[in-house]
Amino acid sequence: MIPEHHVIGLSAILFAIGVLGVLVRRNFIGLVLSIALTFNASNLAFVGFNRFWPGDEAKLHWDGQVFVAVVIAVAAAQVVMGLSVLFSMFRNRNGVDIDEAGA
Amino acid sequence: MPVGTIAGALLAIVGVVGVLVPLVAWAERKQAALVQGRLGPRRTELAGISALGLLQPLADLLKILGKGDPPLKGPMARLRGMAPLVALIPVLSVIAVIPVASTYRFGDATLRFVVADPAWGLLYALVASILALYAGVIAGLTSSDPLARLGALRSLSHLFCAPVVLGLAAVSVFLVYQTLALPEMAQAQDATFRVFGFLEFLFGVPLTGGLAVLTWFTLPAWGALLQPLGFLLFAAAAVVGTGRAPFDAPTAGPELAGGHLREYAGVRLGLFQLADHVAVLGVAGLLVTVFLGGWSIPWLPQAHLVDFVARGVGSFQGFGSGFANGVCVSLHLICFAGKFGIVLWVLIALRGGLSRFRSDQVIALCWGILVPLAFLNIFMTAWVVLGVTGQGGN
Amino acid sequence: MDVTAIVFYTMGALIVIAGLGVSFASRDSLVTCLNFLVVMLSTGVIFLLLDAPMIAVLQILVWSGVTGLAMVFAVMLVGRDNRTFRPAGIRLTKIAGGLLVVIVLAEWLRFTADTRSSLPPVPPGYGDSGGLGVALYTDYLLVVELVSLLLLATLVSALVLVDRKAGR
Repeated sequence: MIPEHHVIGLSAILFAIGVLGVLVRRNFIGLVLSIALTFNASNLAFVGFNRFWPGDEAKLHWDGQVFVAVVIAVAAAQVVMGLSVLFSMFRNRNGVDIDEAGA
Repeated sequence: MPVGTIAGALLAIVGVVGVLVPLVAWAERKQAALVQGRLGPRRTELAGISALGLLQPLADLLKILGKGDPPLKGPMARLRGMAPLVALIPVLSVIAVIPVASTYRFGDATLRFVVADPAWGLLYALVASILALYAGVIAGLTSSDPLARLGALRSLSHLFCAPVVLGLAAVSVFLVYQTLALPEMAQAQDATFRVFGFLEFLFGVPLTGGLAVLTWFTLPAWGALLQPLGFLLFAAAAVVGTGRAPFDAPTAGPELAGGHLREYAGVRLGLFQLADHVAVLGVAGLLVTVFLGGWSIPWLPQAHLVDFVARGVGSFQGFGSGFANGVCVSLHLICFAGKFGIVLWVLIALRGGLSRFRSDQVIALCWGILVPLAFLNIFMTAWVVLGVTGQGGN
Repeated sequence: MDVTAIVFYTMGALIVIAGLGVSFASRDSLVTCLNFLVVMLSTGVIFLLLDAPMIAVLQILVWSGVTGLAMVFAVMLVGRDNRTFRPAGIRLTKIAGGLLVVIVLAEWLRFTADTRSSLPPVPPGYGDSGGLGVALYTDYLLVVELVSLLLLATLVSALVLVDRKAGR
């Protein structure tokens, strides 16, 4: 059987990796994917907690899974927005270095 | 994991790779020859028997194994080596969820003809088909050849179309059967529906008196008859997904000289071709299971068949039930094989029969025609299903 | 140690390794994307182990079918070179980010100190697609509608951003 705190631990480690990736990455693609990693870490925690408190037969708990579904949808929207920003960025300044994008 | 499941999985893999794939390869050659007015392969012989060139796939295999496989070099070598496996493993795993016959009881033992039965079988097939398409992208992007990269770009653009239509078609299928498990879908099609039942639905009165004659006309409750539009959409999107003719713009021979397959040879190219053939088998199996009744025999549900045979035989022999189930298994297997063969032949014949779509035409077809049609289908189906279940009973 | 545990720890190791690949492997954007794909697939498998099959399918379908593809497309557009990192100087964002990491890991340690049990048995009906669907369209209907509005807004704004004539 899987211990609950190992699921949460995996989620925490993945979150840390994602945040550090956001901090060190300068390339647009690496940045967006690192942010997605943090989303995924939170999803893992949500599903884990929902499995930990599943409710009983009379009243099942769905909160965590519903949250994950919403997060996945929002994250897909975020990536699509990122891609279209990337498109216009690439067209206008022929490069996707985010530190230079503000200049 | 029970021993039976493992044995079944091994049997499925050996049967698919060892028997069905060579047959498909042979049928493709013969069909192409038929279209082009040639005789096709007929010179492979074993002990003087050529058998219509049925041994040709063996010769092809020997040729591929005998060809040199240039070692992959450069920073992306490992990824390039992985691409054929990325193509093969997902399509091979789809075979596991396709039921080739129903569930039977022999005394205490239960005999099932499906390797894995997840409750989300159809979605699983969808996911696997998307993952398989990554192979072309990896193979093309890791290459430095411009034509190969163009091929990858094309397969990527197909990837943005086909799964969307497939998913939307799957939604309407889900609405009809109220399940995503493939064995349950096949089971649901092992029945009949009244052809003129929609009159009752539209006018809200039962057919009585002289109109009662109309209730005699029944059709098997196959997905293709309940969901004709869904069937066409699913089939079209599935063929786009396999990247076969007429939707083979990513690997088009005359334009791209093989696209992302350009720089592969020997065993790795063989694996790509194997994946292509297995994908066709998977698509045919899915189409048969979801839309053409799977293993079910038209107008003859499993319970009736078993009952019928058991009564006929059991009157003068002791082992009626087991024997009846055995007859049922073989008839169902034959029925599935027959449907499967026909669908497979249609898929193969498409290859020779239609001219190639350009990539932009594929995108326009998918997003301009198929996606709106799929949405229309979903709304129509939801309306009808709501009406039927609202009146109580299907 | 049973099969689920073995699968879980294998997938966990895969997630950590591939996650490091996403965040720190410097060579190639395509490798980054594929590492990301491995993370998402392994997470999907873990969701299966945690009795959330619909979420697992959704996860793999959306992340690998939409996000991964979009990112591979972006890689094709901008090239595979991914060697640039931020300069080494210390900024406020870095301090804040580092703090966030520390807080999350500390929370986990706190949680571990409190809770050291394995998962409870699954009540019947848990993880069914039907139950999740009913929950989504009854208790959480407002959230679903908000998400659909957000997706619509995203669609429109993405078109405006990308369209040559409408943009600028």
